Amino acid sequence: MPEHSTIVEECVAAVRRRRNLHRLWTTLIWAATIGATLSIVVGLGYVLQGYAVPGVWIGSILAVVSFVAVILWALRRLSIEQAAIFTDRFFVLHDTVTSYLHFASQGRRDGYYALQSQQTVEQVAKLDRSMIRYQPPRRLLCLALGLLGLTIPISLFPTSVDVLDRLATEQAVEKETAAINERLLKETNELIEETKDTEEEPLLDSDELRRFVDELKTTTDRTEALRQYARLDSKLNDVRASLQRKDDEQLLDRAAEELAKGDDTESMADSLMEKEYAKAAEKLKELKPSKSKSPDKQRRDLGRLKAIAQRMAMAAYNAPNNKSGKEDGTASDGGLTEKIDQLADACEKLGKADLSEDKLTACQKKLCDKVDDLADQLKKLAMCQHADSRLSKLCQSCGDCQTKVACASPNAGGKKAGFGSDTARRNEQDALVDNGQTTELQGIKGAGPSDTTIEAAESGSGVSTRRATVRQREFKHQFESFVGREDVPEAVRDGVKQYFQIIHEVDTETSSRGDPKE
Amino acid sequence: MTTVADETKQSVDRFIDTFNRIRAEIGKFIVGQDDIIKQVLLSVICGGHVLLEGVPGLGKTALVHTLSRTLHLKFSRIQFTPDLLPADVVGTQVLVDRAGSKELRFQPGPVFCNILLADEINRATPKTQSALLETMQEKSVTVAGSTHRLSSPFFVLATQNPIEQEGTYPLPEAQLDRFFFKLFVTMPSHEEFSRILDRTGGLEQPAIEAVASGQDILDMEKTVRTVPVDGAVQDHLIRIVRSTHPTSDAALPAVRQFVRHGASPRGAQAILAASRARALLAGRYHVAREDVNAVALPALRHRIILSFEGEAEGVRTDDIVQQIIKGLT
Repeated sequence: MPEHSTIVEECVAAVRRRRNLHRLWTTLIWAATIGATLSIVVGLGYVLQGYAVPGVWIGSILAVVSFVAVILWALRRLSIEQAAIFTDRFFVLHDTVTSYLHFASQGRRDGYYALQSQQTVEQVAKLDRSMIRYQPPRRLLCLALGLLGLTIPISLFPTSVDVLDRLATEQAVEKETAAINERLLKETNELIEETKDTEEEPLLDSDELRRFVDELKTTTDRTEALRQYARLDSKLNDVRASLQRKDDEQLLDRAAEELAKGDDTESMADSLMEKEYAKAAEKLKELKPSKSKSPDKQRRDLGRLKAIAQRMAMAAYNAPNNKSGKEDGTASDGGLTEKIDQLADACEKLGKADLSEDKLTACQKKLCDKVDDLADQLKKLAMCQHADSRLSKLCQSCGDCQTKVACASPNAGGKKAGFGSDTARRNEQDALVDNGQTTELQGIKGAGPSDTTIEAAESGSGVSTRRATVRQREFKHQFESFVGREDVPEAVRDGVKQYFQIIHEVDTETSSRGDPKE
Repeated sequence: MTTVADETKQSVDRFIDTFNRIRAEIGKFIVGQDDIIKQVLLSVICGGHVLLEGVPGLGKTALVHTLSRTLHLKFSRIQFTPDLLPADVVGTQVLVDRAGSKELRFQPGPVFCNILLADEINRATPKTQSALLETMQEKSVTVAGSTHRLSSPFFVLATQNPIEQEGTYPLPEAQLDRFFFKLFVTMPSHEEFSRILDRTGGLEQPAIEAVASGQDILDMEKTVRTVPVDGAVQDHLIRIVRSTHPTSDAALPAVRQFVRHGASPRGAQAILAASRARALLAGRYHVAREDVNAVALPALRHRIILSFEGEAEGVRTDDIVQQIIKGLT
């Protein structure tokens, strides 16, 4: 019996191996079909968007699908029982092998079982296992091969030119934004360092400035980059707007005009015209009454101070935004104007002759205070000016960065960003970077309308050309389109229009005289 | 010293030899009908009763008669008619004058034989038909409280005429279930017709000799009962029988729609016994699914009760059984 069982079990095991191998081939064909289909879908997704298919994708898909297929095959391999059933069915053994295995597992060895066992062995011994041939699913196999063949041309598609350009541009933008952000951070830190422990420091919130710059990010998106720099520019301009004292500067400009009219106030006028407000503040302070000065000098300084105050008050009174228009010549908008008025009042009071000693002293003190107030106001204005000028450099830098980002490109032609010409003519000696996108047009010789016509006249026949007329008409069309542009100044347009009107008049005179056109 | 296997082999050889002899002997008189003869013999070997259905004149009675002569068994024939009484079948008690005193003595009926031909069984009343119930199952007769055993072996071979439906009484399900096989006897072919006429048209009739005895049949039955069955094959058999029930999970849509009742375990027993015999006759020492599939139809066709819809649609139980077998193979 043991040898019987060996023969039968060997046969069943061999059939099992064969069938499992056949199933493996079928599974792999399925895997190839599915993997190729997925690869084609993924590949088309890349190709239709203009990208080349990364080779690793197709290889990975096929490898993963094959791996999963092998796992599934391993989990679903034929068991011994299933192999026995297949053997019975394939060789038409009428459940001989399955019955044998069942009886053997029960340990039955006598009577019918012995006869059945012997009969099974005899039948199994005659079996030719090579008859169990693999029959691949032909249609599926053809489909798999076809799909695998399709993956090859798809995987060879190169990246489109547009995509390559875009990727290169993104790279350039990223590089540019990284450099720009670093530069802006450096400049901001320098600005903060420069204003540290100075009078402008309280006017510039360094934490806020740092926060503005820290919000900048490196990006590959040109639009996003431009947006973030525009936001930074806007924020910086907001800060500058908060520092600007346009009204006060205008008032001081008018005050300078008034002061320039007087001889003794000319020096002050110069300082104000030059916008050297700190210097003007010092000059003002020099005119304060002081015990160290001689009475004559004090008198002269007081006179000058009074003249300055009066002229400045006059300028404030005549200011366009002085809506209330007070009758006593003072303006009502407060701040600098108020200080000027107060100074003028103090000078007026001190100038009165019938003041007692005490009152004189009080008036002098008050005058000194008002001078100091006005001087401080002028100094503050000077500080705002300085802070604004520092920020303007940062804004300038930010504007440059926007230009650089806008021009960031691997194939950028022309001059360097920010170095364009402001004239209509180009300096022929400037070398331009060729971006490789030159276009050349050529006409076909002999095509087009004839420039010459033969005309008959009373005195004979001659040849006239259309060249001048054609040229004139062309110029007219070009200049008409030029004139119609919105960015052309009015003066230029008027000049061009005038020119054509003149030449039209000349033409009309010429034609009325009957001269031939040439 | 002979081993168990040797003894088994000998008994199997005897089985096959006896079967072939009986078959060959019957074939001397009965022309064609090889399949019918084989299935009748299978049924007889397995101790079962057979219901033969066919138009008159196809040799149903002749077959049974020849079988009895081949087996040298006592044969009785009952022509069932509407006026037949149960006592006419099983016997009755008669008043007998014995030594001056009158006593009731049991007079055995025609069932007291080995092979009973119940001709046109569907013509008798249900009351008379049910008289065979105990006879067929218990192989005994109870009259007036006394049970009388029938001879062994005992087989009932009943016939039905499918043409005449007027004045007939369909067999009750309980009685139908007691038949091992139901076989349809079909019209012979042209050649068989010719041979029938040649064989029976002349003066001389073929002589039928007894080639086996009742004891041989009993031995054959014993041999059949020991043929081993693989668990998977038995499961297949059970699934076939269970699929005939409309309430079964595995029932086909046709079964759910057209069948009222499915086959009982008696049907499964019949299939098992017959498939064992068939396996031996095929030269195998185990039962195969093919054996089960081959004997399932005659064993189940009369055990499936169609619903009203099935009968109205003219559905045949043969088709249902074949659908079930096809679905499970």
